[in-house]
Parts: sequence; structure tokens; C-alpha cells
Amino acid sequence: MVGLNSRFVVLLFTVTIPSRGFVASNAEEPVTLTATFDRMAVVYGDIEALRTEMGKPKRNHLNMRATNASRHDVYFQGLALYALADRLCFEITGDSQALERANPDRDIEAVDVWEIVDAAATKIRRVRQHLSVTDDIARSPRAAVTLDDLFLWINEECRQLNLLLDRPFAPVDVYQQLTTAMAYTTALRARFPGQRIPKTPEYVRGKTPRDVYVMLLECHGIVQDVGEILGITTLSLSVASEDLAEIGPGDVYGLASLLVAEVSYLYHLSGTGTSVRMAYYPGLTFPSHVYQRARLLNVQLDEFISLLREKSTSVKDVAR
Amino acid sequence: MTTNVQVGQEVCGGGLRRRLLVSHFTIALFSLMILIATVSSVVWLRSCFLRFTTRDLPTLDALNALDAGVRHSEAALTAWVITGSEKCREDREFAWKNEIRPARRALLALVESSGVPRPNDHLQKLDRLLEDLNESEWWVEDIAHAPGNEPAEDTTNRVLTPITHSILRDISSMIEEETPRLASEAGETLLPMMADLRGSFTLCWATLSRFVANGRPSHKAPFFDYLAATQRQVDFMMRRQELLNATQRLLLAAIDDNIRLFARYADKVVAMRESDRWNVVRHLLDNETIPIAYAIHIEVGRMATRRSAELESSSERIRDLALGTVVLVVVLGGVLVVATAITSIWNARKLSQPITALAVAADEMANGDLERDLPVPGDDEIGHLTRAFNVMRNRLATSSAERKQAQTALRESHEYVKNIIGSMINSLIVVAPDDSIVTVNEATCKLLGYREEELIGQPASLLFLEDEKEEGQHDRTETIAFRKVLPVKGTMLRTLISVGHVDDVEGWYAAKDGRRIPMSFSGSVMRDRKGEIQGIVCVAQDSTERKQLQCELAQAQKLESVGQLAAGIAHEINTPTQYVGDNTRFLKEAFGDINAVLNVFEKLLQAAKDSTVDERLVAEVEATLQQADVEYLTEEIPQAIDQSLDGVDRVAKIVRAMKEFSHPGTVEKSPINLAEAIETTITVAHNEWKYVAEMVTRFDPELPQVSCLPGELNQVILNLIVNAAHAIGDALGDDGTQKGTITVGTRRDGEWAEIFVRDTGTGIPDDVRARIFDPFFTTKGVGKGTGQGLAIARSVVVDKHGGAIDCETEPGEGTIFIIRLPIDGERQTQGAGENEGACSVY
Repeated sequence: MVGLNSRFVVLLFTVTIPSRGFVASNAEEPVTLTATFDRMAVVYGDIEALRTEMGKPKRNHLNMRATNASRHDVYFQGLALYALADRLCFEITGDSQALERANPDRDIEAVDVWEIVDAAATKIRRVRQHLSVTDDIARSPRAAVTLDDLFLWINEECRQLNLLLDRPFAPVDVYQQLTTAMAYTTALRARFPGQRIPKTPEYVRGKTPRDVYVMLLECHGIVQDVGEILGITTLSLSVASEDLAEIGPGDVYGLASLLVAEVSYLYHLSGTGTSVRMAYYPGLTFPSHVYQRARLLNVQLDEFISLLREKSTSVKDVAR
Repeated sequence: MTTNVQVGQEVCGGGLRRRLLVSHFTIALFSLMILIATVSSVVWLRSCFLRFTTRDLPTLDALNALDAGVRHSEAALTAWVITGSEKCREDREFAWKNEIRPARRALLALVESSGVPRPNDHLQKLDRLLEDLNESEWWVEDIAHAPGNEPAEDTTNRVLTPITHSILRDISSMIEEETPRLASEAGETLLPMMADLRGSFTLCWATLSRFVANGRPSHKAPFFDYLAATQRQVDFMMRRQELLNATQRLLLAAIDDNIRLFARYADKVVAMRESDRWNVVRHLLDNETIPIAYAIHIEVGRMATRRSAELESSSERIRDLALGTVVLVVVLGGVLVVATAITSIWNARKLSQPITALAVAADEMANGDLERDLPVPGDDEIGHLTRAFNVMRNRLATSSAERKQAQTALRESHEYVKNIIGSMINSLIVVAPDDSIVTVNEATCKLLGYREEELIGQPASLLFLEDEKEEGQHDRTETIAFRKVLPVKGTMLRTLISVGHVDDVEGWYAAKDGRRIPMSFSGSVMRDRKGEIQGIVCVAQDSTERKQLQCELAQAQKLESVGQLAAGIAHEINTPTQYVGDNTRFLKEAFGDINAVLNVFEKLLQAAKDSTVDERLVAEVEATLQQADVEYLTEEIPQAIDQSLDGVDRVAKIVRAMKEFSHPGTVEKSPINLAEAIETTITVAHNEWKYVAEMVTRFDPELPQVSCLPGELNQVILNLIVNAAHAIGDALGDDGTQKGTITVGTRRDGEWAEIFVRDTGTGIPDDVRARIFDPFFTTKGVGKGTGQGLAIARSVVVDKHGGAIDCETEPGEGTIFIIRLPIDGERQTQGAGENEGACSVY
């Protein structure tokens, strides 16, 4: 919980909570949420079986806590899981299939969450079949079945799955995620007059994934402030400060995916309905390149919230 | 006759003024109307022109600059896409930063200044288009040189190329497996099929690569043909696996999987290449960036067109207005000229008639005819003027007579003053502040040998000899100018400037023949009524005779001193003379006794030679010796001789001192030994002090000879010693048992020699201290002092030697006089001391 432990870096994610019931509730839709947990148990078992078969290390423990998670957050975390599973599938089987509607232009339903988890589970199961891994590893049952738990569980499996890849998620993938976030932010920023994309910051050599992670935390802080200004519920996420040293590109990718989820949902709420620019493969990319783009996004978000404070008080103002 | 003339409206009917006012107001009214019309036109014209120049033209300029900036950024972006040069990126940034955004700001400012209410639809639309363009260009710039710009080629490189390499490697391995087996085992072989497979897949990959590179449909069909052939060959070999060994079968399975994977991704690549987004940037440029830029050009063009139309309209208005203003001014100007001419001619005719008559009368008056009054034409201003003219004529006649009388009186007064000046015995010169001589009298000309016209206007320095040793530097210009005029000392000049006059100052005239004529000058500053200095009036008297008298007086004073000292000196000479006489008489008597002894000894000697010495003779000798008291004589005679010689020396010394002291002295200074001079004076004055004081001398042995006037300096020292003796005598009173002390000495102080005379006398009372150096001032009784001593001492030391004399005194304790003299005899500009003849309490 926010502020419960001083050792944690508190992350407040701005989360859009529609009025028609898209709220984080530990007791809501128990059947569907339970079904999703069941699918995650399958994912966990398959990943563990593959890890054992492939002789890969077990992920280290990341002391992360989440509260007020919404289906939207879980859905985009599921997308990250699918992307990892698809890459593993491609590496092992040569098969790769992008989701047709990875970012639906509507409110996320519980079934959407289940479907994305199921798609990831199918991909992983295909790998397992391809490798003829038959060991079954069951996950011990969970005491609680909340969206917060599901969010954290998916995040853990993403980190583990990344370790199974020959070509794990790298700065180039984070870069593309940040480019997507920039595209959404630019579209939001276009509601206000003035230059939409700030001047590109200087390239600083020697940056590490940890630096990018910290910069993205700042970006998320700004997005949280946007949520507060617009009067919508926010997700709180905390990571132990000592764990920041263990941060790798996979973790950065997960955080970047969440950032994309938040800004895309803001964009969805604005009601424009038009698609934003697609990310592209940037070529050889180092953490310093990613850091440069993260700083650019940070400045852009900063300008956006300044304009928001000056001229808007609600989501409707953003939509105008 | 003229007292009834009064001023202004009280008498005048004011008719002329009214007519003039009506005339002028009529013209002024015409002018005012024309002026108002002209100013209105000009103001309107100015507002139109201002709008034209400050809004319309700059707006058009801003639009043009904006359009040019957009074209600039487009060109830079295109160049960046083509070349990837960093300079192109910077160029695009420059276009936005320095061209587009400033032009846009200028445009906004102009719109706001024109009073058009915001939001302005056109401007908002333009703003939005500009930001769309900026964003679009940013994305183009960001993507252009990333591999993801061409997804087909990117996927080919990242996915298909590894698969292709794997397939070709597996085919080669399979062939390598087959070749040795074929050599060792006869029978059916799939080696040709394998070779075909490699060939067809190689062609398949090559055609796909070409298609991805150029996108030509002509490469697509062959690619799929080769791919289908490859798949058929793999299928064939899969059906004939019995001809392959285990390794080859595994390789064939891998090839089969990879071919399928290759085919799947190849489909994607082909689809990507055929898509209109096969090159993201090109698609962006064609479908977004360039259309936006085009829309901006259109919008700017529309705005510019509207503004141009407004400009044209404004221009037309300004031209029409300017023409109308010119016409209006010309027409109204013509009307004004005509109206003014008519009014002026009519009024001038009515007004000029009496004035002309007045002018004629004025001419007559100018010619001296002051006898005839003019006829008064009426009761208006001309009538009043005529009456005043008649009064003026009468007064002129009166004042003319009075002026003639005053001129006569002035001329007589001038003659009188001139006679006075001409009659003066003494010299009179008036000097202007610029140092030029303005007036001299006849006595001056006669004294100096000049004619008056030779001196008037000449610098005063021609006559006044400057004292080059004049001390004191003064800042004031007028002081410096007057300093040239009067050769007086600094204090005198300051007195002249501050007090306004000086009196009896010594100086010299320079005569035409070069003579130096000593003069006594008196002068005063001549000021006008405002107090400004007009010059100096200087009266001078020839002081040659007076100077001679002064010299004689000084000598007389010295002789007077000698006379006063004569009794004492006589006493001084008398004492040694007396004991010289007494000793001489004693020697005379002693010589008789010695002579008797010598006679008896001569007898004894003869008797001894004759051997006739007897007791009687011996007794006679003894009696003679006893009578003569030879022992006494032997002791006393040498003393008597010494005392006599000493007395003679003392008399000689006194006489020598008297001779030296009473010597008239020289005109020029000469170096002397101050100690010897003082000793002489002490000797001369011995009788004055010996009864009341002990004399102590302290001479500085290192003091060199001092250049001075010896006779006059001796007189000074004598005066001081005598004063000291008198002061001690007054202090002792009738007590004859005690004596005071007079200390006289010398010492050196830099370039100065000091002589001091200290006494233990009564000191100088406070009330007389300031006057002791004044001439004829004395506190001594009648017959004891003339009051000249210290005055002469001051004159000799300060005026003749350029030195200083000071005194310090303490009533009841004593006094010390200190004389400071320049060793080289030249007057020093500094160091003589502040008090040139002052006395203070120590």
C-alpha cells in the first residue's frame, strides 16, 4: 500500500476508471477472474517446466506491490506476457503471430483479460509441445484472487519468461514502447496549442537500464498527477528501492508497457477515436538511446500537465 | 502744453484698433477654416497611411516570411530524408525557430493590434496546420533513417535472412553427405534433386531480395514460381526418404520446416512490400507532411490574397485622399489670398493716410524743425499718436538745450580734472586689469623720459621693475595681473586686493634711459558701481633722496650707539691704563733699588779683582741688599710687567673692536665669521652688561662664514645685547650683589644660520609684545632708549638679509631673540619662519 513501508519507492500510476464499472474490485466477477487465475496457473506450470527443461535460471525476487489495479492495467500487462510468449514461440518453433487487436479502442472487459492471458498460455503450451516437455508443475493455490494479485503475478511470469529467451527483451523493444507512448502523448498534447514535441534532449553516454527505469518512474508520476487533475482513480505501485539495482531491460519493458497502457487509456478517454502512429524498428539501440527518448517523453508529459493545469479541470476538457 | 496727453484706452476711442482687429480676425477666420479642413484631411490621410504601413504591409511580410519558412523546413526535411546529413536536421530546426515561429508570433501580434477579436478562425486554422506540420516533420525525421522505415526489408534482414542461411547450410550438408555415399554405393541417388533444390531456393531468395529492393511486380511471380518449385522438390525428397541416410533425413526435415517458415514470412514480406506503407517515411510525406504543408501554403496564400486586396484598397483610398487634400488646400488657399488681398487693401488705404502725414512731420523733425505742431486728425489711436508726437517734439526741444548745457559742464569738469592731474608733482599712473596703462600724468612722463602717447596702452611692466625674488604664489588671476603692476611684496599685494589700497611701498621705476628710480608707491583699487575692478590708481614719489636720508639715519643711529657706548668704553680703557701706569711707576722705583744693588755689586767686583774685599764692603753690600728687598722685587717685577702687557692688549682689543664696530660698512654683502663679529660687539658693549650679567657664549664651530652686511648686523646684535642688559638690570633692581646671565650663540639649521641672544631679565609683558618691532616704540625711560633698536633690527634682518627675527618670552623669566640668516646671503623662498618680526610666549 502507498506509504506503508518507507523502504519502497512509491509509484502512483494514473489509471482511468470508467464510470460504468471498470473498477478494481477484489470481489467483482469472481468466476471470470478465477478463470483467469486458472489460466495463469497453467502459464506458470508451463513456464516452470520449460525453464527446467531449458536449464534456465529462476528469476530473482522483485519486491513489488500494487494496489487499485484495474482490468486495463492487467490487460496491458497480459499484452507484455503475450509478446514474450510469442517471441519464445518464434525462437523455438519459428512461429510468430501478432495479435490482431492488441489495443482495443473500447473499455477493457474481464473477458479481454482472460483472452489475452489465454493467448499467451496457448503460445507457451505450443512451445512446450514442440519441445515435448511433459513434466507438470502445479502452482500452489492462492489465498486471494484480486486484480492486484493478478497484475503482480503476470508481472512475475513476464520476468521469468524473459529469462527463457535467447534474445530477451532489449533496449530496442523498450525504445519502441516509448515511441508508442510518445505517439499517444503527442495526440493528447495536440488538444492544446503550441509545439507538441519538445526539442530532443542531448544524448548522454553510459546510461543503464536502471537509469531508464528511474526516468520512467518519473513519467509515471506525472501521469498519476494527470489522473488526479482529471479526478480519476489511480493505481499505486511500489518497488523496493534496493531492488532497483537488479532492474534489467525486461523490467524496463514491463514498466514501459504500463506507461503505454496509461497514456493510451487517457487517449481513449479523450474520445478522438483515431489511431496513433505505429512504432517502428529503430535499429541498433543502447540504453542511452532509450534514456534519451524517456527524457523526451518526460518533458512532453511535463508540458502536457502544465497545459492541463492551466486550461482543464476534467477529462472532458481533454476530449475537446 | 503736453500734460493733457494720457495713455491708452482712456483717451483713445479705440477706432483704429477695432478696425485692425476686424481686418485681422476676418483673415484669421478664413485661415482657420482652411487650416481645419486641411488638418482634418491630413489626419485622415495619416491614419490610412499608418494602417497601411504598420499593419497591412507587415502582415503581408509576416505571411510571406511564414510561407518561406515552411518551404525552407520542407526542403531541409527532404534533404535529411535523402542525405541523412545532420546539417539538414539543424537547418529544419533553424527554419522553425528563426523563421516560422517568429513570423507566426508577428502575425498574431499584428492581428491583436488591429483589434480583430480572438479567436481568429483563419489564424487558429493556420496555427493548427503549423503544429500538425511540425509534428509530422518530427516523425518523418525520426523514422527516415531507422531500419523500421522499410518494414519489408527490415523483416527480410532480421527474419528471412537467417532462415535462408539455415536452409542453404542444411542443403549443402545434405549434399556433402550424399557425395561420398554415391562414390561408395552404386544405385539411385537424389543428388541431382538436391542440386536442383539448392538452385531453385537460391533463385527463390534472389528474386525475393530483388522484389524487396525494387518492388517490381515482374519479380514477384518468378519468386512464387521458384518457391513453389522448391517446395515441390522438398516434397519429392520427403516421399523418397528411403534413399537418404538418417542424417540426411534429419536435415531434410529441418529444411522442410524452414521452407514453410520462409514461405510464411515471405508472404508477409511481399504483402509489406506491396503495401502503400512499404516505406513509412515516403508514405508519411505523401499522405501527411506534404498535404499539410500544401494546406498551409493555401491558407497563407488566401490570407495574403485578402491582405493584398485590402492593401490595394487602402492604397486607392490613400491616393484619392491625398489628391482631394491637395485640391482642397489649393482652392481654399486661393480663396484666402483673394479675401485677404481685398480686406488688406481696403484697410490699408483707410489707415495709411494719417500715418503718412505723421511720417512727413517726423522727417521734418529729423531735419531739426522742432517748432511746428502737427494737426490732430481725430480721437482714435492716430490722433493720440499725433498728440504724443507733438509732446515728444516739445520735450526733445527742451532736452536738446539741457544736453548742450550738460556737455559744456562735462567738458569743463574734464578739463579741470586733467589740470589737477597735470599739476601733480608726484607720478600718477592708472593701470587697467589687463596690465595696460590707461592714464599717466605729466610728472610721470617728465620723471621717466617718455611722452604720454608712448605709454598709453603699453603694459605696466614697461615701467614697474619686477622683483624677481617676490615671494608668494597667488591663484587669482587679478592678483597675478596686479602683481605685475605693483612690485610689492606678497602681503602688500594681498592687502591691495583685500583692503583696496597700499601706502608707501618701496619699489622702482624703469626710466626710458634705463635708470632705476627708487619710488615710494601708494595705490588703490578702482572699482565701478557694481564692485567690479576697473584698474589700479598708483601714485609714486621719487624716494632717492629719502633712501639717502635713511642710510644717513642708519649711520647716525650707529654713531649714536657708539656715542652712548663711549663713556663705558672710556671706562674700559681707563682701568687698564691706570694699572699700566701704576706698574710702570713701580718698575721705575724698583729700577732705583736695583740700580743701587748693581752699584754696590760693581764695587764688590772691583774689590774682588783687587783682592781688597773687606768686611765693611761686605756689610755695605748686605745693607744695600736688605734695603733694596731684592727678593720682593724679583717676585713682583715680572707680575707688574705681565699686568702691563695685558692692560695694553686689552686696550688694543677695545680699540680694535671700536674700530670694527664703528666702520660705516659696505653696500654689498660679504662673508664673515659670525662668532668673531659677535665677540667684537660683546667687547664693545662690555660696560653695558658687566655690572648686571655674566656673558656666556656658545658658538657653533661648524658654522661656515655667512654672507651679510657686517656693520648693520653688528648694530643688530649690539641692540639685542643692550636690551638684554637693560632687561636684567630691571629685573635685579637695586640689588648689586646678584647678576643675571646673557647667553649669546650661533648654530646652523640647514641652509640657515641662527644667532640667539637669551637673557634672564624681566621678559616682555603681554600688552606690548605685539608692538616691540614698531618704530619708535619703547618702554624704557626717557634718555635710555629711542624705540628704534628692534625696528632697525627687524629691517636689517628681514628686509636687507631676507631672514627672520623672532622672539620668545616669559614675563619674569626672560627673553630669547633668534635671528635666522641665509648662509649664502640669498633670500630663501621657504624656511625663514612664519614670524618675520613676531614675538611669542615660550
